[in-house]
Amino acid sequence: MSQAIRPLKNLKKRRSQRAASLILVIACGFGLMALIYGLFTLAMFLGGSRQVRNAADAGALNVSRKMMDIRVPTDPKYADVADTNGKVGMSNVNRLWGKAYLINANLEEMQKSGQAGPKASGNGDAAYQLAQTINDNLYSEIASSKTQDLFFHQMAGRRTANMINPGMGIDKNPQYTCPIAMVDRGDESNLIMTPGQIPAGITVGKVDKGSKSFMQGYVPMTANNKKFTFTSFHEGEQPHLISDSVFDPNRADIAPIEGSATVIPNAFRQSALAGNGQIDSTATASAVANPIRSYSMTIPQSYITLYVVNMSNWLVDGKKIKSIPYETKADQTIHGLVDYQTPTRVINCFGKLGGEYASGHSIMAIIKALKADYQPAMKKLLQRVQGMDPSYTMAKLTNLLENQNYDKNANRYYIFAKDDSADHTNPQIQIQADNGSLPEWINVQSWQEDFDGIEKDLITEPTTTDEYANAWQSPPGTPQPTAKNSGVMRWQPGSGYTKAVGNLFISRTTTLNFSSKP
Amino acid sequence: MPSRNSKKKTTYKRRKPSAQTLIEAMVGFIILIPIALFAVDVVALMSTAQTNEQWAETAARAAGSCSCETMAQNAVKNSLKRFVPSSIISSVDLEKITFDQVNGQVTVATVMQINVPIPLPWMNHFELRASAIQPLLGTPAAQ
Repeated sequence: MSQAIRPLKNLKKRRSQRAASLILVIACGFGLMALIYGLFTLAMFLGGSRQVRNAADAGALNVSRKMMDIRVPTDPKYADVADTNGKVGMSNVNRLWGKAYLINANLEEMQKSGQAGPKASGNGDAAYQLAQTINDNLYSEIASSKTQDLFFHQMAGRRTANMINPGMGIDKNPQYTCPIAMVDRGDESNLIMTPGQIPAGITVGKVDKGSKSFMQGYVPMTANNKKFTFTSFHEGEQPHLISDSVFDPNRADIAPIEGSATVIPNAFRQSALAGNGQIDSTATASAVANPIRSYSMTIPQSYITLYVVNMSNWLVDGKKIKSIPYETKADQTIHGLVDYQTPTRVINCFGKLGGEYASGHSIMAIIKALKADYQPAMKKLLQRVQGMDPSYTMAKLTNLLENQNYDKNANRYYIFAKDDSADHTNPQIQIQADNGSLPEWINVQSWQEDFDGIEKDLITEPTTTDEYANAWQSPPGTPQPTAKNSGVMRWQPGSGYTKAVGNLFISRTTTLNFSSKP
Repeated sequence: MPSRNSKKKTTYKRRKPSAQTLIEAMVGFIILIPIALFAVDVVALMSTAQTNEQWAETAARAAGSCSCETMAQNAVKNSLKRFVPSSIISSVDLEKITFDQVNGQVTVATVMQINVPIPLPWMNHFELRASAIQPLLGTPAAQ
């Protein structure tokens, strides 16, 4: 048995010794080449994967940037918060909602104070519904996979994954939907506000950052029983990539904002695909958008009216004989009752009126004329003015009213924001009489129709006797004639839906009482 | 049987197996070593090509965050300054920047100078080019 096996062993030895090295070298050569090919393929695949990842990143960033270019037409009621082309996009949609919010906040205050007129409720609904319609039109464009695909291909389509498939471009992954998300919830939006512009009693969500306050993003807030949600945009940030751990918990389909199904999202996810028939490489990337532009929450085209009526009532023995209006200036001598026949005699009655205006002719002096706490009126005015320009201060308002003299030929004064910028972002608060050159959007003729609130006393000024006016008669009477001054400031609110946001009516009355008795 | 064994021994001695192995190995290595060295260079080139693409990507992203071309150029230069030369990659420079504000994108092309680790005849220095396109993110949305 051992002898039979030995020749075979020898044969094996002989074969291996003859070409052992050559076979080994050839085997090593093939092995080395296989290793090189394997490494080459792996390196190409890894490089290609990186190209796909870069394409997905660039595509997602482009989507988040180009979404700002999607604009939809606005309604004439919101033309003053639209862009220079009269449209609304992601960058100024918060501005649109800001105006709708202010209108409804004003209406809620009007309702609470019992000053909501018959048109108020309808105006609030219309303001909200119009804003919602514009928002929904924008949402359908932004959430559309068609729009997102277009912007994705603008960037990713210009790239290649030549390490996977030379000459082949990178496509959008067809099996991937385009989720959207609302990230940075509770952070600031790009809508600057000031607490003073919110009517008293209305709770607003705001975020303070540095010296600025912003409306809070993605936290629904209520005004006039309607929910308002603003889109978060961090101040001073550019569009940037975000991780899945940030995107996923904020996806619109996983964690929607309560009561705001079509709130404008601020983050987008894209998926890229490249393949060579054998290997597919996919990559996803998420990016958060930012317009790098902020706006003030305003009702840009709105106005306040202010007017003064002075009336003198002429009484004899406590009985009103006639009323005579008097001018808003001091030391007016009026011969009110000329040869007036009393039961016992004929008297002539005189009055020196307008003493309350001795301190000046400015509108501020007129407001402060009688010794009353005029601050409630100033606060009302300032709140509404800050609805036009949130940066406006009480000092500026006081200065504005001090520098405007009252024109006796004017029926009313208008406080409004003059704005020459195309998108109404540069308000200059002005006061002007109705006989001056007012902006075209102010309808002087039908001004009263613009108010959806009801007038109510705001300040009752104390009555003074013989302090600001004097009465005398000829022949003299007993008791001696008296002149009493009183006044009231009435506030008629407007929501701003029809441009009017408030009317301050100052009514001053001088009552002169004469005697028929000698 | 003994006679067959003795004949075999004689045959082995005549062929000098150790020298043959040496010759075979040498011939093999003459072929394999250049292949291996070439492979090292190929791997180095592939690796540096990918590195160059990544530098172009980084530079383009830096340029994309700028609002004007001058700023973009500076951003690209600053971004490429972070490159540390090595014995293989001697430099990465900006070749061209196209700042397209109309379409909202920037294209950055970089050129990388490569010295292959195993210099081969006429193939010791390479110039690799890569370009990357990125959206312009530093420009505010239209008013």
